[in-house]
Amino acid sequence: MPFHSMFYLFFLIAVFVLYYSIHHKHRWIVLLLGSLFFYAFLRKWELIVILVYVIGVTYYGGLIIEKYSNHGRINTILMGLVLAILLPLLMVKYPAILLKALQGRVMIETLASIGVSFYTFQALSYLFDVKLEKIRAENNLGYLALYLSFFPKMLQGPIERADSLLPQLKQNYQFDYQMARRGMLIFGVGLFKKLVIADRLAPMANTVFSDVTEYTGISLWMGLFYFALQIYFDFSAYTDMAIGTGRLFGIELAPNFNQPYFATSVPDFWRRWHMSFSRWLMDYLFKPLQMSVRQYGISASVIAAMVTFVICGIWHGSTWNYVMWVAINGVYVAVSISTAKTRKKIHKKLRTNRWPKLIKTWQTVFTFALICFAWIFFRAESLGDAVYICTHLFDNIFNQFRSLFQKPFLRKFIFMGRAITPTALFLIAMMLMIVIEYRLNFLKNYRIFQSPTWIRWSFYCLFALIFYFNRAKSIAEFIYFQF
Amino acid sequence: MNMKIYDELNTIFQQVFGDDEIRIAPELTADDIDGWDSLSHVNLIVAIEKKFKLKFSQKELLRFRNIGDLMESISSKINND
Repeated sequence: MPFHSMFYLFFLIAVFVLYYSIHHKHRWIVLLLGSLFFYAFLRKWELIVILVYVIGVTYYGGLIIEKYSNHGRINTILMGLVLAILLPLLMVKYPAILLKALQGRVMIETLASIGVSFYTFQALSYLFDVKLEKIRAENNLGYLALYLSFFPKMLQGPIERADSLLPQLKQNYQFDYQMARRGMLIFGVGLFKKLVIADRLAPMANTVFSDVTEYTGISLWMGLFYFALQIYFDFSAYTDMAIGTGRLFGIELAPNFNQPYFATSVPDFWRRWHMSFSRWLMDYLFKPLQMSVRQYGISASVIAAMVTFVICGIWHGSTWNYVMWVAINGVYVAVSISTAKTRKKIHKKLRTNRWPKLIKTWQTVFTFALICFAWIFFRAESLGDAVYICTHLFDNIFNQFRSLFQKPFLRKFIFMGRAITPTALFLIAMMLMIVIEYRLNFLKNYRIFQSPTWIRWSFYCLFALIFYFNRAKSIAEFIYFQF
Repeated sequence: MNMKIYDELNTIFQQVFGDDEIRIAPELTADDIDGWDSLSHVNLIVAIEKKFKLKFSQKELLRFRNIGDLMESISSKINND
C-alpha cells in the first residue's frame, strides 16, 4: 500500500500498537509478519513467491559461502548464487528477452516487479559482505527474512547493508521518544514533499512531455525543470517516509539523498542521488573493478565507470530511455575522470581560488544543466520526443524572452496552463523553502526541535494548513515504484 | 624502518594530491584529505605498489580504514621479504 494512503496509516498504527505491546524479545516477529502482510496486500501472488525464493537462496547462500570460504571453487559457488538471486529480477523485467530464449509460444504476462529490484540487490550485498568477511552469515532465518522484507524499505529502498540493519533488528527494542519524534517529523516532511510539491509539479511536467511538439525553447526548459524537481521530491519523499516509519520502531534506515542538485560535478551528483543504490554500485562494482585493472591508470577508472553505468541502466529497465540516460551519464563521468587533472591545472593557472563562491555557483548550475539534459531521455515518451526536445531547446528563445511577462504567454508556456498567481506563488515558495533549508538545515539537523515550543507548534500548524489547502488535486503514484 | 616508510609514503601522498603541505598521520582517513576519492585512491595504491615494489590483494585493500593500516601493511610486506 502506498505510503500516502489511509490504509498505510491504519496499518502503521496497528503494527505500532502490537509492536510495543509485545515483549521486546518478540517484537521483530511483529515486524516480520507486518512486512509479509504489507507485501501480500499488493495481491500479486508472484511477488510472495519471489520474495520467499530470494530469502531462501540468500539464507542458505550465506551459510554456504561461510562454510566453504576456503574452497577452491568458492568464486564459482558465489557466481551461481548471484545468478540464482538475479533470476527472478531478470524474468520479471525482461520477459521479452527471456521469451526468445525459451523459444516458446507461451504468453508470459508481464509480471509485477514491485520491490524486487531493491531487495534483490540488498540480498546480493549481504552475500558479498559474507564473502568479504565483513559480516558473519546470519543463522536465524527469521532475522534474515526481516532484513530483506522490512516493510518501510520494501517498495523503493533504501537498499540496506547487513552490518547496518541486521544488528538493529536484533537489538532490545525500547521506545525512544526522541527518535520517534524525529521519525514523525521526517515522515511529515516526506508527505508534504509528495502531496504538496511533487504531485503539483507532475501535471506541469506531464503537460510538456505528453505533447512536446507544442512547445519550444523556454517552455521545454521549464518542463524539464519541473520534471527534475518532481522526480527529486517524489523519490526523496518516499525515502523520508520510509526512514520516518523505521524510526517509529527504533530502526534507523540509510539516507538516500543529500541535496543532489547542489552537487558541484556529475560524479558528486551520483554520490548524492539515490545513495543507497549508488553506494552499492560503488562498493560492489566500481571500486573492485577499478582496483582489479588499476595498472591501466585512468583508463581503468573510465572502464569501471562505464560498466557500472551499464549495470545501473539494466537495473532500471531495458527500454531505450534508461539506456540513453545511463549512457549520457556514463559519458559525463568518463569525461569528468579523464579531464580531472587538466581542469585542476586550469584552475591553478587562472587562480580561480580567488573567487570560491562564484566558481561553486558556476559548477552547481552547470552540473544541474547537465543532469537535466540527461533527464530528457529518462522522461521523454519516445526517442523522437527526446530528439525533438534536444533540437528545439534554443528555438525561438529571443521572442520568448520578449513576451516573457505577457500574461497569456506566461500562463500557457511557463506555467503550462495553470493559473498564474497561485502557480507563481507556489514556485517561489518552493524555491525559498529549498534555499532556506539548504542554508539553515532546520529539518535536516532537527534544529527545529531546539526551538521553543510555541515556534515549533506554530510551524506544525502552518505546515498542516498549507498541506490542507495546497495538496495536489490529483495524486500520482510514486515514480520509483515502477523499479 | 618506520620513519623511512613514513617519509616515502608522505612524498607519494604529496605527489598524488598535488599538495606539498600534506603531512600524513596514522589516524587520518580519506575524509581528512581534500580530493581523496575513489579516483585518487587508485592512483595512490598504484604509486605505493610501484614505489615499495609490492602488491596488495583485494581483501587487504578492503581492510584499510586509515593511513595507519596502510603503513602497517606496507611495513609487514617489506619485512616479510
